[in-house]
Amino acid sequence: WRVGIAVIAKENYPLYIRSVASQSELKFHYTVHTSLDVVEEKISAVGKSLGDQRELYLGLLYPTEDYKVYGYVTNSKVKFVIVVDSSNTSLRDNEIRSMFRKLHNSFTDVMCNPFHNPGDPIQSKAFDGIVSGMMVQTG
Amino acid sequence: MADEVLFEFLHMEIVSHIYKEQQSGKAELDNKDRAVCVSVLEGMGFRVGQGIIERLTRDTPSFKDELDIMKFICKDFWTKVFRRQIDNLRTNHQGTYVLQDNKFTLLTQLSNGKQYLDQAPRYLAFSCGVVRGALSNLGMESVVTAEVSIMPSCKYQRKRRSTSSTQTQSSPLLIYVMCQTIDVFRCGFLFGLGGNTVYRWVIKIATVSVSIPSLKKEKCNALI
Repeated sequence: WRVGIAVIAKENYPLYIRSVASQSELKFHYTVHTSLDVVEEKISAVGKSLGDQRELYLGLLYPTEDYKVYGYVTNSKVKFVIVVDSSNTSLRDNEIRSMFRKLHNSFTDVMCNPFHNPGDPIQSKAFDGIVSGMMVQTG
Repeated sequence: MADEVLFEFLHMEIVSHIYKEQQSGKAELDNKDRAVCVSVLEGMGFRVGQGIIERLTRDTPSFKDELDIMKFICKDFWTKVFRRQIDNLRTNHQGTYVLQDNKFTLLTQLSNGKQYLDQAPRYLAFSCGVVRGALSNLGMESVVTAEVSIMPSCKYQRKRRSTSSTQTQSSPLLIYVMCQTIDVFRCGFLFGLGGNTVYRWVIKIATVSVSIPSLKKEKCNALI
């Protein structure tokens, strides 16, 4: 049961935040905001480590009591953050990676849409559809 | 086979359309109009560059540094967009890069020497924008200019955008073209565009033997 998905621009403001309705949205926004620090740390660490494969997927950012937060950053420094319930142990790394890939593909389509201005909040229905699909899945 | 040429035709029409629009009703295009056309083309290219780079870097690992990014532009990006690689990349390791393409796709159909040299800038503006948009999305804010001395070879130069500039929208675009024969330096046009459409132009007509590398920017600045 996914708790929420967020897309953050390279200037670190949200382009798209969506959480499951019943959860406390504010807490979700806060979790995403604090995870940005961890993301920044990982991005700057990538530059210094030599010989490491420079991946886009950042993995588990940090676990809290209730949630697990995963991160992913594109080459254009747009960040995706997925927050899942800690109690959901059946989610494997591969599944999270594939979710990020789907998000990235969908985001690329949004960027190529001439009616979308880069830097504006994402309003594409197609993107909404992909995210809804991911949130409804019960793993 | 046909798809290569589709974009070239479209590009030619775009350029022609922009210039015709600007000219509607007027007898002759003055330098201000030309500057507007160039600015529009560059702006279109910018948005395209942003979108293209998102698609092209979707599966590539993250870049180590600026040089890594420029190498990507010279190889993969140039191949995907212009169907060849950059022939020569030079840098001063301080943010300035010069990319040389000896057979730029959008110029090959125009001429093989000096003919139509003065028309070349129109056909480079869009590409300058594409490069600038791509670099911008990768985190390198730039000023991209293009230079042609003999068709179809052209040089793109990328400079770091100075943080003191006040624009919020597009960077200043300088298209600096020199029409030059072996003996005579005919004319240089310098268009400067700022985000709030402040611009200046300089025409220098001289009969002096100079070559492109030896013409210093300072000389031109002195004329403005």
